Amino acid sequence: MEKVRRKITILRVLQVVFYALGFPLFVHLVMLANKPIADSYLAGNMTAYMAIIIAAVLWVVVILIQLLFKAICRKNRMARAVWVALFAAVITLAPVLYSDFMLKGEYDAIVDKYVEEGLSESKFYNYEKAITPEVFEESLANLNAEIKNYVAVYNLDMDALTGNNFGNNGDGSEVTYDEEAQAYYSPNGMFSDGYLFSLKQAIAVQRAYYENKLAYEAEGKDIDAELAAALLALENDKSSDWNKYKSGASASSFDKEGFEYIASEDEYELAYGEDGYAKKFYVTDDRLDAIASVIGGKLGANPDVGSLLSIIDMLPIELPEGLDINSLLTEDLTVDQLIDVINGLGLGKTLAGLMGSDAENITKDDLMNLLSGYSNYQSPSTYPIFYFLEDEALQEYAYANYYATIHGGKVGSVLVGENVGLMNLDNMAGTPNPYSTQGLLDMFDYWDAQTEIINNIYPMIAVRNTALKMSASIVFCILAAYWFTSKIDEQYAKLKLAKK
Amino acid sequence: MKNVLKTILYIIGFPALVALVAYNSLIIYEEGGTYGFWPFVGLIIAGLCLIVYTIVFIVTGKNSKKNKGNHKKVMKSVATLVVMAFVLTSGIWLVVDIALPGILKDATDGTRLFKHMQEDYKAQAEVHGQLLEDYIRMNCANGNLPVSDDFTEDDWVEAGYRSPEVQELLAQNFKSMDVNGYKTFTTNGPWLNMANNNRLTIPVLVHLVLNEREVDEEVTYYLAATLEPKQIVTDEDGDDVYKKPVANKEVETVLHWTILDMQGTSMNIDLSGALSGLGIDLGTLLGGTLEKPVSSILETVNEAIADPALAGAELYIGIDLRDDSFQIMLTPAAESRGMHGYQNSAWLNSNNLLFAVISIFPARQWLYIWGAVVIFSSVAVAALRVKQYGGKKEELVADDDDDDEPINVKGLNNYERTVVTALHARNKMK
Repeated sequence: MEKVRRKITILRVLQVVFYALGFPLFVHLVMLANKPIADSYLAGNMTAYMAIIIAAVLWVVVILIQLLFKAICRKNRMARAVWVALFAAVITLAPVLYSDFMLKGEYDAIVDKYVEEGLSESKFYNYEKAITPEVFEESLANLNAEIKNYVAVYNLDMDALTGNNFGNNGDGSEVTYDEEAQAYYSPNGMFSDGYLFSLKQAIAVQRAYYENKLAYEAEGKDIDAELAAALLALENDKSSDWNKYKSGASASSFDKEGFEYIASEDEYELAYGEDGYAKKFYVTDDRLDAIASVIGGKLGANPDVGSLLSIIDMLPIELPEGLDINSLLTEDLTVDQLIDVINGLGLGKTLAGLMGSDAENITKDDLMNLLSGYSNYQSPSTYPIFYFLEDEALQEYAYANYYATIHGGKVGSVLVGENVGLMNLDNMAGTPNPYSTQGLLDMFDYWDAQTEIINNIYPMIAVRNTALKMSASIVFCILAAYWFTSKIDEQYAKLKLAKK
Repeated sequence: MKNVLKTILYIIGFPALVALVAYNSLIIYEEGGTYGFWPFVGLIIAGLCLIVYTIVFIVTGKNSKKNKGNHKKVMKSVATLVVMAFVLTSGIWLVVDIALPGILKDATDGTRLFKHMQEDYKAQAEVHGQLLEDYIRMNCANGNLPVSDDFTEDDWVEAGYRSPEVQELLAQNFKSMDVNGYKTFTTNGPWLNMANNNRLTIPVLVHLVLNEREVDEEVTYYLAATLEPKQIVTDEDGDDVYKKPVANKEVETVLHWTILDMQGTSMNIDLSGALSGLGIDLGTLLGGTLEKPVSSILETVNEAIADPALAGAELYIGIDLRDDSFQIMLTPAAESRGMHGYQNSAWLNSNNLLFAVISIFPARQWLYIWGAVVIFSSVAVAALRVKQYGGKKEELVADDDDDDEPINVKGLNNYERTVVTALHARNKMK
């Protein structure tokens, strides 16, 4: 009795081991082969699991066939085993045949499409080489490294490939997330105040910026000059949509087709009018004058200021005649007067030089321009001026330019220019841009091609490469498991039952 | 003899474990001693486990004795003891470990992470103890906690969180910093979050400094005296950078907070190198003849900064001439008002809960480590009980009798019985 029992135990262990060496091992190996795909930044949500799903489905189909033959061949266990093994062979070879005969065409079509669009053919392997496990893994790893480098240069958030939002809008307006676009939007359709670019949107912004710029260049035009002229025209033309918008004209009077206000006709006035709420969030002329007034008033009232001004005599600075700083220090001090003092002290040229101009003196406009780079505020609840541009290419460029420089500068991801990425107090200059315009655009096209390949071809290739190696052993292991089952039954047949 | 052995095994199991937890938590009790029962939460949990274990130990012991000779019942009862030993040590914590990191992250807004606590709970206890002590000393300095010969600063420290005055002061003043400081930044856009995520760009800084923020006039701050930093600090001043406090007429004030208050520490801009080219010894000048006018002007500048047209809140600009340097100091008002930076203040405000959480870690650690000993001692006790009360195991009784009627046997398990019955039935049909 005990001997029979031991034999049964051993046979049962062998039965389980051989079963596990079949499809369960196959699914496990597919999981391993799938890892480079799952780790790829370009894999869609489903793609990350697709190979595993395919492998599991193959396994389930074989289980169903096993059940079916259990019903058909009730008595002949070996016939059942042979049939199941045969089907298992066909099922495991299917991905190999499908990959080698059908997918090859699909792969070549993707490559041809992108080569026609201008990518060099040398960027792609031929199909037979591309699907070998080594090349397959290596090219996915290289691609990830390339993306990681791009993300680092522009200081995107690696943990937030789907985009990130650091909080609410400054004016408390609603922020909506568009999963497809991987972006957070404000009511005016622009990115929300704290939106940090997702990989997808960073690419979209740079494409819109560079492609339009190149298209204008090809026609011998300077897109920045064209944009500035178009914006000036909108500003100066009293009957332009922009001016109608600012004055709250009725929506039907706009040239822009289907124009609608975001909330109400007075939305612009509420934000930027006399007591506009948006003015809380940036430095205005009035705000600067108020600051000058407080400083002038308080310093003017302090008798020690006069005695300190004498230190200027000790410094190697010559004051122009008639400039009396002491008399300016009152509550009436304005920014214009301060600029006169700066120019009077001969510091205007130096400051203008810092702003990239070779003028002798600085003006208030220079100062406001400088400030607008640091203190710029676009209300999320009003349209920007470029919303009303008629030329679509110019409009697309205007938005991209705003996102890439102003929004990007704010969130620490400047996307265009000689220096890009994070610019802060520790690193005012940012990172030198390592990409050429054409190089960047080609890289995006290459990523697009790879995205199609990864999502449409690679999961099946992961299954194929595993199935190719395992097909024969799966069939063998299934047969072995059936054989051990029959041996177990033989042992049980030897047992007899004892009386109570 | 066996009973003595069982008692010893019992003691080196759970009671020793609880003693270890207590011993390793001493620093927590020392640092958080004024927070009532909170620092003892870990010990209380370990103690409860000990009580449950002891009850199981006694009940299963009695049960074994009662069923003396019944092997199956004795086995069942000793198995219960071993399983409970596992559940009450590692078992609970395997479950708690899944939930705890999330709870901790939420409770501290992600500023205290499970892995930090796990690695070094003793250092965390010291940090949180120090937060309270520093808070009390800051508030003794500005008169919020009045010091006299009868009740000195050290007495306040000694009383700690037990003192109702300290509790009330902290609750009221943290509310001001939270509602009129931190929340005015977070409800006004994403800027503070960006600054906290290494994205403090110049536009973000400008937003943080210049955005107009609304304060709740109902929320007041208790400030007995104003304590201002000296405008020019020289070697003579040493570490003493504050002027004498000036008592406030209105001790309940509505305060505005700057972004530097949220950070809590001062910012120094070292100009020693940049100014050395001027050929003038500014240090000597400012330390001597110009000290008075420069101090006076800086005082005026600081007033201007507090004006709503500028930052709208106190921020002190000063010059640090110590150690032959020339540094511009930007000192936030938080410290002189008796507050840490926001993060430390927020921790201090929920220090009791944090001490409770910290106290769980030694309990967790030793329940894991000593859990093995508890399980071992339980198994040893179980073996002794089986030997003492277990009786004899029943023999298997299947044989090769020719009678092949399917009948109940004790030797086969249910599965085997089913298979054998079915096979015999099939053979019969053949």
